[in-house]
Amino acid sequence: MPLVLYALAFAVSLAGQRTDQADSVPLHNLLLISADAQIVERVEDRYRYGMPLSELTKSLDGERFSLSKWGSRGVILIDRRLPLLVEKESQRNLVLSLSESVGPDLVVRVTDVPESKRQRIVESLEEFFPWHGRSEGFDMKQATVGVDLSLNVVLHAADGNQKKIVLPMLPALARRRNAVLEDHPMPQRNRELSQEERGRLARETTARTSQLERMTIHTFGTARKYLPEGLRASADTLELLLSKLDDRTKEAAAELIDKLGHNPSLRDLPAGKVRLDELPEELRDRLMNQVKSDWEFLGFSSALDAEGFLLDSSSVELSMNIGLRRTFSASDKQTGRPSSGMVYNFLVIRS
Amino acid sequence: MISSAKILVLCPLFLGTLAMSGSAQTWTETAYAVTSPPQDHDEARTSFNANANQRYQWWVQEACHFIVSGSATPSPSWRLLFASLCNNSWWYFESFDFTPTSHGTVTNRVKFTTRTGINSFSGTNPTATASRDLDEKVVEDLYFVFDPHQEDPPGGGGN
Repeated sequence: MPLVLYALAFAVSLAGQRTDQADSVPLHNLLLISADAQIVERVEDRYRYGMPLSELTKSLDGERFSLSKWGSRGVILIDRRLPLLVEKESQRNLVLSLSESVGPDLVVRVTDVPESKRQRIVESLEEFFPWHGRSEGFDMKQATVGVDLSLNVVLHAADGNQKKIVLPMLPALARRRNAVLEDHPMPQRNRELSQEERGRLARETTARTSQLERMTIHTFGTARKYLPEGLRASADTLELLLSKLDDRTKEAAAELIDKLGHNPSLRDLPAGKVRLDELPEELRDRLMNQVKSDWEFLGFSSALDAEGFLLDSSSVELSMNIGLRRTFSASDKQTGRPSSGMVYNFLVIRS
Repeated sequence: MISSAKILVLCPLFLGTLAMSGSAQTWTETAYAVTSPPQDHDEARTSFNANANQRYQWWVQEACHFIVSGSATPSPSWRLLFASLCNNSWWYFESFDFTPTSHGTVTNRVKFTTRTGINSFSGTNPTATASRDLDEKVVEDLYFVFDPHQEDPPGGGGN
């Protein structure tokens, strides 16, 4: 075996020894973050003061936890099923499901979605467009909805003032999408909710929000003595986990946006605050038109004022909305009636 | 939607009626030419904050118009009547009903197309031509956007 390979094998062996040594160090401090009482009980059952870390990890489901070392004799366990983390993962799954199901016309026909992905989309529709599945007899499994993309552009003025402009994207495709959705309307309900229904909706929403915010911290061994330090380390770990999930969701969103043929790609959008002249020319032109169109909505006294604000802005900041569109009613060419509908933006991706 | 097809139907009927009511002159529409590419708009209107569980009902309205003005030729006698008929504007109303399951912002939006063109006619007995400038705004979609609050909150407990 060449010398270099011997050296490499030796280094790997040393690294392994170090890991083994760390894993065999007595575990004095354990901090667990979870929202699941059964998980807390399980860790309580398995943990003994001074046990080697390797013994603890062997007895727990490794996939379930994020484990990070804390000092020389401590460890932080974060339950990967924390509602906060699950929600992020769930958003990513929705983006992946849409990416697989959306047609070139931006339309998602739920009946055509593979069974494995359908449930995730149906659950989202129930959440975004509530009360159609149950109270009005509308079956979300039969729904036809559309993907909607828009760009948020925040203009920063030198004096600290800022304005947010929304730029609808893929307008030609959105027109085709709306034409299809007009044949598959999801009507608004035409009656008041009963007292019971209002109560149920309130309870469900409160329960969902409260579950999302739930997270408890448990200390084992002597961890209680070092709680402030442990909380700081836990926060860092949690932030890292959230950030990784955000990155994965962003990657999934970029694939969806590329699939829809959006130009510029999400990957090409400038990150953070940039100067107006750093934006692609076509985007600048569209932004100018939109600012002038929306001058009244934005609180300017005229389109000229709005244009001036844009040109004088010290920086711009971009993010992208991904939403789902439903149509309430179709247009009527005989009477000139326009179509009507709504868009629920479920995800904002920052570049 | 009021489209050029409707204009084509409306105007010759009216002109035909005029032709039968006295003058022997008859007119035929020869063209409706769009003079610049139609412009698509998707604009924001009013917005408001929405709280979870509360039922919101509101309506939005948007003006449409179909206007005829000017003439490239001396006016036939029916010009004023024709303009009066075709200078038209009206409002569209749409009502919405929404009970959000999270806090957020509702923004009303409207999609419409504007276009300008020339509506031209030829007359016989005696031979003559006339044309009108057309200005149209056609509303295609009234909708609202719900944005759940996803902005980064101020850090450190609101500092």
